[in-house]
Amino acid sequence: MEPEEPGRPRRLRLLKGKGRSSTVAVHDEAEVPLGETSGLRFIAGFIRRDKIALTGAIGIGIFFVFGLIQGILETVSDYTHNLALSYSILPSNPFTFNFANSLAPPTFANFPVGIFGYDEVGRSILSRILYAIPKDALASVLIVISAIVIGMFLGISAGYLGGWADEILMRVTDAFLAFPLIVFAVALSLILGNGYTVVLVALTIVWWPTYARFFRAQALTLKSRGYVEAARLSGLSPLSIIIRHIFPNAIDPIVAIATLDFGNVILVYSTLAFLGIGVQVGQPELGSMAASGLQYVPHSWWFPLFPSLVIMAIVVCYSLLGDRIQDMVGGRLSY
Amino acid sequence: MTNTVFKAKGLTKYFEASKRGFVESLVSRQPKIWVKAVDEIDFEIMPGEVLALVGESGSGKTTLGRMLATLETSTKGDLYFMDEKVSRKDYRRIRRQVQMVFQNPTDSIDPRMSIKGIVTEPLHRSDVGEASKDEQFATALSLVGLDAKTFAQRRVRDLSGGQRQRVAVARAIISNPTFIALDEPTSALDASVQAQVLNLLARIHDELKLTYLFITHNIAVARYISDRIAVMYAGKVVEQGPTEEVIANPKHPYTQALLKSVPTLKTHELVPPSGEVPSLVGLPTGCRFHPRCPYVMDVCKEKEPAMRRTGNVEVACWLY
Repeated sequence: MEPEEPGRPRRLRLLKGKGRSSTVAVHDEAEVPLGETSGLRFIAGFIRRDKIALTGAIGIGIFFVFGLIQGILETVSDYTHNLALSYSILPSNPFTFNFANSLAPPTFANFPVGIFGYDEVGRSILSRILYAIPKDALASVLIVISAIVIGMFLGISAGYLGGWADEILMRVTDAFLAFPLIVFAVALSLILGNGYTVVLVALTIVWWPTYARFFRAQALTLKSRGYVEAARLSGLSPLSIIIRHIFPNAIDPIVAIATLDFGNVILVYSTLAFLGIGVQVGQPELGSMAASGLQYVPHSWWFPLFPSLVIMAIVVCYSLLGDRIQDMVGGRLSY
Repeated sequence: MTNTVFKAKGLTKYFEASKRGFVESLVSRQPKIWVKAVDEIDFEIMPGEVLALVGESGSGKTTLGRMLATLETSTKGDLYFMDEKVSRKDYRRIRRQVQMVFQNPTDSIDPRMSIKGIVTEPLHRSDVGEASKDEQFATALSLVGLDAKTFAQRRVRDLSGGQRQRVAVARAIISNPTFIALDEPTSALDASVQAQVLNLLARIHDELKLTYLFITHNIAVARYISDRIAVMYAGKVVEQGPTEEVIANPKHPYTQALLKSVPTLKTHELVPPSGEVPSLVGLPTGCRFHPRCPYVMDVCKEKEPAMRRTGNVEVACWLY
């Protein structure tokens, strides 16, 4: 407690959470000091205090920081035709064949190249996994974000405007929702050619309708809130109401869903790669490594196991974080 | 000087009981079911007066208030604002002069915006500079008894219920409206805070020469604040007149029943109106109140009574 100073409002110091304090001036009626109860800054604060969420966040952090660095190196090497650059931070060259090591088991010799073992032509599985990471990181971010943007635009318009706009937009959404993902991805890669971009496009096309529905539901609830009606009375146009009131209040639960969804994208992306969709021959890809390793099981169990474990680890990190954020936003956790 | 701020002739609002999607509406053969929230109401609101709209939950009083505030469009009937007929395209213009205060102050303030952002929202379209915005904000907040400097950057979660409702009132008065519809502005507050806010509303009414439609289920609150009172039952106004007269000498059996059910410090036994609130979908024939009325006659079951003037009071009942 600070000593009281004459002539200034009496101040209360309240401890909140670990080492956080907020100071609130005492006014005529009872003050309710709550600190942040919503918004991205609040979610960030929550992650810092929650061990489970923090574990997930650290895992995802490592995944993204590495993905970014390795991704930049791969892109630059692609443009400069300097292949060596693309694996300069990896333990070994993920492309050279070394038949002496073919299907060699995990070993600590020549650390860390061999800790995950070697594939059928003697390439380090660790190096190939690391080389594949940027694609998964990019796919998850790009698809979820474009799904959110498209879904937000269409969903909020449908929910807020209602009537015919709602009817038309939601029937279009339903049509897209009816696309079976894998069949659609195969069809698209047959038309546009087999490639990474095609997979990204296919995933985005099937991914946004869920968000459109979600944003629509949010817009419908928020539409009847007092502050939205007051804003209508204040003469705000529908667009400014959406920007000022609907969007900022709709985004919280979306953050939780999106975090869980990053993991789902990686799973689906890997499933497609497992089936050989969007994979270039020779290019390492987590899903396709698992698929090609499967024929050497049980003898060379490490070949499909480690790529699969990496997929799982990434998805688990997303789930830990997303689940906790969802619990918090949904009010099931006290914080 | 205009004669009336609002005048309604046969004002009606029906809601569809079950909303159908486009595809359903093609297939379904069942007739549409309507909820008769407000059914052919006539009334006038004079400049500078406070009209209290009293009735139980579901009697359509909020819907009526929302129609005046242009948040709902009437199904039938005419509404005149400042003696001019209101149609949909006039809403933008009318909204400059009409405001509304909602029942739940927590819900009516965006949790993400600062108090200043909320209160000055109605000013966004007029070309006021930042400086004059600050000035108007300070004036509005001082009118509702809050300190502009202290509250400008706060969020709604930092405020108590009474302060929240004061902020909502500040937003309603900042654009200098002619008319404010107050939808149960004090029913979410406890008794002492309710008294503060009522006094505040009465003071603002006098200082800014406003016209109020004060919607409340609490007849004691209505008596305190209003000049005239209109009692609503199942979508109809059953009695209206000067507040003192209606309360001293209630004519309609429903008004009498309402007054008997008000708890005061002296009453020991409350007599709530007997029977159920009628469903607005399948209304009773004849007078809507007849299944609950202690003086029911044969004519009540067959024919709906029209509004009749007796003295200063208008009442819709076959007894008069």
